[in-house]
Amino acid sequence: MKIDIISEKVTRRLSPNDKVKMIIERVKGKSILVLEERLKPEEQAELIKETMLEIDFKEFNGIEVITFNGEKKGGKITVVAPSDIVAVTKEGDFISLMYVAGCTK
Amino acid sequence: MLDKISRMLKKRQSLVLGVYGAPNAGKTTLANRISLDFLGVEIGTVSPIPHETRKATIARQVNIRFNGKGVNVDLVDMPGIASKVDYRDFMKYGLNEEEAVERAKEATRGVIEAIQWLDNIDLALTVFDATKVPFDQVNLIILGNLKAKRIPTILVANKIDLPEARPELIRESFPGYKVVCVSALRGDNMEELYKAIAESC
Repeated sequence: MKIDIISEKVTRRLSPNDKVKMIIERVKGKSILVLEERLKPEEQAELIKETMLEIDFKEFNGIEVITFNGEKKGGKITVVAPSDIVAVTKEGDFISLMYVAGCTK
Repeated sequence: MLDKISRMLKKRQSLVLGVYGAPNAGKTTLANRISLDFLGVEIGTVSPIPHETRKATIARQVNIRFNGKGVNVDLVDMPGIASKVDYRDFMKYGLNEEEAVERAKEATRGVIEAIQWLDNIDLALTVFDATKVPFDQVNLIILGNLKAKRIPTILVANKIDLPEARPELIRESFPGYKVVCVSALRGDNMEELYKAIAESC
């Protein structure tokens, strides 16, 4: 398991489709992604649709996704993680990533 | 937002009313209640196992009435939207592995179908399980997409018959929305929901 922090400079260059593909590819590779942007609702819906197509009912069973708005302009992030490895929760201004008990990956 | 519904209804004889929400929020129970009240029949099967509704189910020409005002809708009970579908979760309810995987496959197709329906509805009822924290990302995604597509929505705080229900959290979390608190199971406060829909015409 690893954490990839991806600058907005990278995602800005990608089309919405390519951005979703990049996210899925990395999450399927067991990465937790921290994007320096808040994914738009349409992009999140597309991400869920693509996730449903990629679920293999063995190694990859979906994603956890959460968005976060900071106080300052540009202070926005999106966290996407494989649901088989971590559970992501948001409470107030805190995002928590919890290792899923019993996971051996 | 409800003004937009009103303008739409004046132009059209019927509209497409989509029932959205996370799995097990009570969407089918609500759709059944509406259908039973105005058509006399239920439209779907309810189960404690998540993703019981795996295909969109339509009840056509439902005339929702309140105080003499009415609106014709095609009521669409959507599959629950989720970002993960783990077949092992279904095995906890007694399904064997083969049954669980098949259900999971159907559930993933249902999620896609529910998202695709967003392009074809005129009004949404977004159903929340009032016993759970409302700030779930799935709810945010549903509401964000409805807003982006300029589709008006009424938030339905369901399961208020349960002692642990906290519908006030839904009002606090989404202050810009019309929130109606109901128990679809018992039929509590359904009149207020029908009023919210019918009075807009």
